[in-house]
Amino acid sequence: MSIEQGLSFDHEFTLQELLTGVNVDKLLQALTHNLESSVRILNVKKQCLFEAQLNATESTGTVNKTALYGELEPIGFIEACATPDSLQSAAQLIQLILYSNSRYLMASDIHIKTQRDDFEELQRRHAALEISETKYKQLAESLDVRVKQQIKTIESAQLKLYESEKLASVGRLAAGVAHEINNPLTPIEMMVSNLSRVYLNADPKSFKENLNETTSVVSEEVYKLKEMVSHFSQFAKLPEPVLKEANIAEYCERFITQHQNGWPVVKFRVLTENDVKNINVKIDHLLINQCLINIINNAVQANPTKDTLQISMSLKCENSAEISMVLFNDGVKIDNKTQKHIFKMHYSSKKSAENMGLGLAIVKKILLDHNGDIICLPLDKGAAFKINLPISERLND
Amino acid sequence: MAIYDEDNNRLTIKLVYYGPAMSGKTTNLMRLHDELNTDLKGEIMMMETTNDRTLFFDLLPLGFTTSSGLLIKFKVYTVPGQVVHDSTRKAVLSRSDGVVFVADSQTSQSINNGQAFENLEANAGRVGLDFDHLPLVIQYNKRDLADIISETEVKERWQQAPWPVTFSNALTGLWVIETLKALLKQVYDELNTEFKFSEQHNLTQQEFITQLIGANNIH
Repeated sequence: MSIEQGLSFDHEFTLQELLTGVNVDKLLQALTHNLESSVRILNVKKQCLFEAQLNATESTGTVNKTALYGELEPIGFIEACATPDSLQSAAQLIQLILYSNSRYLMASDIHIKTQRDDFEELQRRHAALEISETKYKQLAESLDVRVKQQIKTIESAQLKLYESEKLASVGRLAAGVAHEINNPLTPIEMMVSNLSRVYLNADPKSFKENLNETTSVVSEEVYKLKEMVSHFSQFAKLPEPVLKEANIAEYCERFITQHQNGWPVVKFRVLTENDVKNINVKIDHLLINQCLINIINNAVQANPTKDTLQISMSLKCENSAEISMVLFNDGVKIDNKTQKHIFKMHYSSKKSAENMGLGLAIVKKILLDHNGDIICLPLDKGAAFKINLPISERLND
Repeated sequence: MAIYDEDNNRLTIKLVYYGPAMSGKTTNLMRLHDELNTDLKGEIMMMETTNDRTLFFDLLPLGFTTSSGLLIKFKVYTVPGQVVHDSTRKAVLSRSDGVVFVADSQTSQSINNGQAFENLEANAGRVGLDFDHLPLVIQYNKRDLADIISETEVKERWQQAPWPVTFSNALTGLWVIETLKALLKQVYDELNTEFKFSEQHNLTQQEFITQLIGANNIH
C-alpha cells in the first residue's frame, strides 16, 4: 500500500499502482483476443509496463494509441493495431478496472491511516496515564515519608511533654511534701521553745504541765509525719501484681460483703448484667481491693457533710476484650479540670493533712499494671469512675 | 495546503464538505457533479454503506487548465458525519484548502450542528490547519423543510463570525453552486500569493471561479 511509503491516502495514483492486485496477464489475454492484435500498456511517460503478443497471425496495420485516464488526466496509454473506436472501448474497460481499484486502494489506505492514528492516540493516552501514575506513586511515597517524619516529630514532642510532666509532677510532690512536713514542725517548734521558756522561769509545776502537753503534741505531730512517710513507702513499694484467675462478678460481691461495714455513711448497690456473670479476669485480689478502697475513701472524703452516700457498682461488657466496672456515687460532681488531673500524683482538691493526693495515683498505677485502665466519667450529678480490665476467659453457660 | 507538482505542472486543491450526519454533504457533491460545467470533471467516487451513510468519503475530481498551461485540479471531498468516524474526518480534513460546513436547518438539529462545528474547529487544530485563515463557508441546507430555523435567526447567530452564510436546498440544487463560489473566492485569495495566479498565470478571481463552475452558471 502506498500509505506504507508515507504517501497520503489521496495522493495521485500511477497506472502501475492502480493495476496492483489486478491479474494483468488475463487482462492482456482478453484484450489481445478482442482487439486481435498485440497490446502494450504504457505509463504516462510512454514507457511500456505490460505487453502481450498475439500468438496467431499478427494483424498488420497502423499502431494506434489511446490515453488511459485517471481521475481527470491521462495516467498511461494502451497501444495496439486496432481501430481508434475499438481501442477506445478497450481503454474504457481498463478505466473501469482502474476506477474500482482506486476506490479500493483509497479506502484501504484511509483505513490504515485512521487505524494508525487511533493506535498512536491510544499510545499517547497510555503514556500520559503512565506519567500521571508515576507522579501519583511519587506523591504517595513522599506523603509516606512526610507522615513518618510527622510521627517522629509528634513522638519526640510527646516524649518531651512526658518528661516535663514528670518533672512538674515531681515538683508538685516536693512542694506538697515540704508543706506536709512543715505543718507538724511549726507546733513542735512552738511547744519546745515554750517549754524551754517555762524551764527558765523555774516553776516546776507549770513546767511539768507544759512538758506533758508538749510531749502529747509532739507525739501527735510525729505520728502524722510517720503516717505520711508510710503513705509514701506504700506507693514506692507498690508490689508487682500476682495475678490469679477470678470471676469478676463473684469478686465484686465478695468485696462488698467484706467491706460494707468499712464506711458507716456508705450504702452499696450492685448492678450486674446477666451477660457478665461468666467472665473471668486475671487480678491480684489485694491490689484491686486497694483500688476500690481508695476510690471509696476518696468519695467519702469528698463528701464530708453527707449522712448517706450511695455507691453503686456495675459491671458491663462493652466489647469482647474488656470488662468495665463503673463505681458511681451520688455525692459532689467532679469538675472538668479535676477530671483531667485526678489521677496525677499529689493532686488533691482537699486541703487536709490526711490527704497526700496519692490515693488515685496508686489506683491508676495498679490498674495499668493489670493491663487495664481507669477514667473519670463526666457526669452532671455525682461522680463515677470506670475501670477497664482485660477479659481472660468467657465461660459458656 | 495545495500541492504543486512540477513534473506535471499541476496544482491540486483540496476542498472538504464537513458537517453533522445526514445534513446533505453527499447531495451537495452530487449536485455539483451534475451542474458544474468545467473542462475536466471526473467520476464521483462514493463510499457509502447500504443505508446511504458515507463510510470513508465521497470524492469529486474537477479541474481546468489555465491559459499558461497550469492544470488546476480540485479534489472535492465529503467527510462521514457520524460521530464515530472522527479519525476518518480528521484524515480527510488534513491538508484541505477550504471547507464548506453543511448545517442541517431543522430546529431539531441545532445541537448536532453545534457539536459538528466544534469538532471541525478541534480537528482543524489537530491536523495543523490555521482555522483563522482557513477559507470557510457556512451553508444552512434543507431550506425546503417545514420545521427549520429562520434565516434571521441564523444570521444573528453567525453575525460575529467572519464567514459567509448561505441557505441552500441541495436536493434541488438551490444555492449549491453559490456556496461553492463563496468558498472559491476565499480559496483564490488565500492561494494567489503563494501560487501567483494573477501574476504568472493571468488568472483573476473571476476567471478562477468561472473556469471551475462554467460560464453558464455565473449569474
